[in-house]
Amino acid sequence: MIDHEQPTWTIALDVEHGKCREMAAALHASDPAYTTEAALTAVPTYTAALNHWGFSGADVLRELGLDIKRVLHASEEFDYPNGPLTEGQKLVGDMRVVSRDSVTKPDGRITTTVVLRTDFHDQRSGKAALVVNRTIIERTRVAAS
Amino acid sequence: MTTSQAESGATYTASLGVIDLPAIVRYAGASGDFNPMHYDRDLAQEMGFDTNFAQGMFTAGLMSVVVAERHTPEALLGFGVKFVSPLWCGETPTFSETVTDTEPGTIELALEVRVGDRVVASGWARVKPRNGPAVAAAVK
Repeated sequence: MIDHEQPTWTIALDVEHGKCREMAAALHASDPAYTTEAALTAVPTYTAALNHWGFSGADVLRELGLDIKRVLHASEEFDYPNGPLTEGQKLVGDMRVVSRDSVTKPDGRITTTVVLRTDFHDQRSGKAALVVNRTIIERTRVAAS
Repeated sequence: MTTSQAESGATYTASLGVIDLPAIVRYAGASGDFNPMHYDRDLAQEMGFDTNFAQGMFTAGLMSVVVAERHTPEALLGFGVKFVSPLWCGETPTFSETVTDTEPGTIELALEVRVGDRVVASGWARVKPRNGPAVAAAVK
């Protein structure tokens, strides 16, 4: 169920040379497109570095009313409608809740599954750049009374 | 597209190398994910885990780079990963990629990361085929 009270978030992200290289090194990339070319290609999961642009996943969980200590990252999916991100792009992402479902297990625990979708577009061209779907799960210790 | 390029069922495997503390810390710095569960063994054990473990997006990133470099970075159309079990610090995971479907213009891949018999992550990727023998030559 989604109601109109669900929060949304706007995210700004720059595709920078140094961050491209750092992510590539951390992910053991060796293709020159990721490591040495003058205008680098961002690794496919570049948006995992969003914290560096002031985005706080912890704040998102808090706004969703989820307990960060009980939240698991279940899945992450990426679509690249116009090819990989490249150095110099400035992106703006709109994150929203796609679905939120809670199930009470026989033992009383409540499992809440939230799917967050972020549509990134290129600020200059206006074109779609990246779609990220993230699924997170919160499992409570006991059912809320 | 030639059938030799990516036949359904063709599988490729590769080691992702040892995921030790320096690797985890390096990814923490790159991504900004400084959740201490990933680098503080004592804290992770206090929280009931066997030991500290890699960031999920670290595993996802390693998977995505293997796929993108095998098929070229421009060929990657989509990629997804489901986190199944923790990748403990010090483990050496193995990546596998299996062609599940080939259509004109796209190849569908099933991805998996394991440590021994344990599945750490499963996933999928959709890539553009390319002409030439490079991919076929790398399929074991």
